[in-house]
Amino acid sequence: MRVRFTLNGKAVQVDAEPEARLSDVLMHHLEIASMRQDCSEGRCGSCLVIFEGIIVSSCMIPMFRVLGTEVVTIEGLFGSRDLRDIERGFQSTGFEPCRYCAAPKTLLTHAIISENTRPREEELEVQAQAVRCRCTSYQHFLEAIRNAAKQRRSRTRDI
Amino acid sequence: MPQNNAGHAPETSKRTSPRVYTPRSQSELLQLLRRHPGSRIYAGGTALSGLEDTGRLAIPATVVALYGVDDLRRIARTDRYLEIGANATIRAVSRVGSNVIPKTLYDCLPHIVPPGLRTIATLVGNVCVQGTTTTSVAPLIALGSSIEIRRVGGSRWITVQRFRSGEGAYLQPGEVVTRLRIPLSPWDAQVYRPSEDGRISFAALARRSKGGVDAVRIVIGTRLPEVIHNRELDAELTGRKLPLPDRDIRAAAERMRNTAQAHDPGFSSFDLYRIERLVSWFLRSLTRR
Ligand SMILES: Cc1cc2nc3c(=O)[nH]c(=O)nc-3n(C[C@H](O)[C@H](O)[C@H](O)COP(=O)(O)OP(=O)(O)OC[C@H]3O[C@@H](n4cnc5c(N)ncnc54)[C@H](O)[C@@H]3O)c2cc1C
Ligand code: FES
Ligand code: FES
Repeated sequence: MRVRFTLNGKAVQVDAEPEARLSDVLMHHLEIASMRQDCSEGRCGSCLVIFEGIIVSSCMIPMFRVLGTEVVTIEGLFGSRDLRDIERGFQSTGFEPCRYCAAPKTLLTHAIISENTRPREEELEVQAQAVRCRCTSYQHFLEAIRNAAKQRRSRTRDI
Repeated sequence: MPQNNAGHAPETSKRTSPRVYTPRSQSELLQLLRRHPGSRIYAGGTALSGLEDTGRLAIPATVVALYGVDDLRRIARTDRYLEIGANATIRAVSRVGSNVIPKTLYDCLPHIVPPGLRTIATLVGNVCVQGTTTTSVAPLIALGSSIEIRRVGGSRWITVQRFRSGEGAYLQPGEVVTRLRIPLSPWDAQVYRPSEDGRISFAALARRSKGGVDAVRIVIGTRLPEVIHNRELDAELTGRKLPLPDRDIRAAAERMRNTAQAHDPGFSSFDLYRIERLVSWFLRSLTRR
């Protein structure tokens, strides 16, 4: 089937099987460099994208569901002030995700703080677990998200 | 023939692509289900989609997707109930907040699916997965929840307990679950405890009045489709004076252990021990409150 959708603000179209995974199509048909797929069953969060404004594991999204929707990967944030807030928040915490998880963790942070620059702690704690990582401390990531939210608040004067 | 919703057993063909219908309204949804009685309902699709060895998602041959039906996203609250539409995601439900959602259900929400899927997986979809007791079922049964089932020209409400019990209450072709209704009765104690390995989920509620136990419900979810719920034990504990004597707590815990053993002879002695401990811990906590 021909699937037209918006990717990082641009209209795209691909020919894909209706049951193909969005993650596969982004990686192999659209050559999105940041895309990774690890578990392929919705557990690890390596393949997170923002789909219709919500963060989701794209390996569980079939292409028939993508028709007419809007998808954002980390490439869609490049050069934006939104991304700078997050980078500053991470830097001020001394938080350095590895190359493997930097994209999903950044995108996840963007989704969380774009929805609410003062995320509720209990919500934050659940959401932050969306990217599986055994090498950095989870508390450190939480702190980095809080600092990114602070950056976003001060830039948008939501103090 | 009942519609079999076995979660990870999709009826797929590796060669033909699935036929997907995306209704925009409830009436269109019901019409489509009538016209395609063999179709499967696709809510979040997280239980329905298995993995094919070709790397594609294994979607059943004909699916009717709910995600375009906006009014099924509705979450409404009255004085007595919380109603959750079939399209409401687990994330949307948890955002209603712990001040509205009964604690035993609220505490279970983070355990239903991995966080990257909470934004698409639905609570009603969780109730509809057959073949195993999914995470939300024990708390929903303890709370006395019901579901609305609709088809062209009719609707009915049944309790989640009955829906899950297999007493002929499974969906008939052409039927869909449209709403989940959760009573907002006041409970003085509400707990939800999953075991780390996911083999057991424990939900318990109690209400006290005048120094005694006014009502108790203890429900345990396991890997089997049906929950463990000893209604006789609930009834016997009701009306008892607090504090409960230690020997009565031990006897109640042992009875639950025996019920569990009869329910699933495959339980390990460790599982049975955990069940016994959870029941006594809950009953003791009533005394301490
Ligand atoms: C990695 C991973 C981990 C998981 N972990 C858990 C877990 O710990 N606990 C757990 O309980 N589940 C788990 N699941 C299974 C699943 O994600 C959840 O049960 C989820 O809540 C299902 O909701 P859904 O909206 O995605 O349902 P779907 O997958 O769309 O549907 C599930 C089933 O219910 C039927 N159905 C859905 N909605 C309706 C309706 N309105 N009327 C009639 N039938 C309907 C479908 O036809 C299908 O048979 C996991 C899944 C994955 C991929
Ligand atoms: S690859 Fe998608 S969640 Fe792991
Ligand atoms: S996986 Fe990247 S820091 Fe752990």
